[in-house]
Amino acid sequence: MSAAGSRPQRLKAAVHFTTGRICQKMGEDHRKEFSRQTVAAIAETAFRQCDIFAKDLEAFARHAKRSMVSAEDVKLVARRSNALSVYIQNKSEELAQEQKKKNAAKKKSKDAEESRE
Amino acid sequence: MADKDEEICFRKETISKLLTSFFKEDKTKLSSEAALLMAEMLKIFVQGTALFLNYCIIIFAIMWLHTDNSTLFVFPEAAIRSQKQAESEDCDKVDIEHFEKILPQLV
Repeated sequence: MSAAGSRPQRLKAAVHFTTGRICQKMGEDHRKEFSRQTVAAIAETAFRQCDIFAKDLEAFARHAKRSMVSAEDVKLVARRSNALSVYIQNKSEELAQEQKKKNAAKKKSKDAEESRE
Repeated sequence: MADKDEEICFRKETISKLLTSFFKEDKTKLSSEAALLMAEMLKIFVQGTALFLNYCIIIFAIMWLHTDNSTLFVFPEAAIRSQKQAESEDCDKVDIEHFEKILPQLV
């Protein structure tokens, strides 16, 4: 019970931590400092936004009669903003290409192993 | 954004666990590609929120310096809109969520 209770808290802390680092980096780039309260507020907003994102993703996946949320669902979540949508589209293609390369490399090493045998 | 050292991003595992914890049904799963994309998206969300806050503070400061208290009229309007948003969703309490929804209309 206690483990189940502490898990969301730990996830929240992880989000808070990364949010802090992103804000710190942005602060360096823009010569601004984000106060601890501001970072906490942004992290809380991000955490709540995740709830909204998750519910949307689940609904989209279910609409497509899948129980696995795929990259296509993420693209749908990003559809409202043109810039974001393009960005996610590009990222997705990048990931797909990386995956292809990885698979090819795996195949190659496998083939090499087989030929050696 | 200048990328010195390494790119700061949310961990795939964190995002995966977080989103899965918000799913209504247990059987809904998240593919690893989707998790990576969501990590990217959340990063943009955080950056956007931070920048937005920054602009708010700047705009507020400028308005405060230049106006004869007309800044204060922004707030009643925001309050009314938040209330309308709450009404349109059939609930009788104005939540921070409603304010968040009308924020884009005000800026």
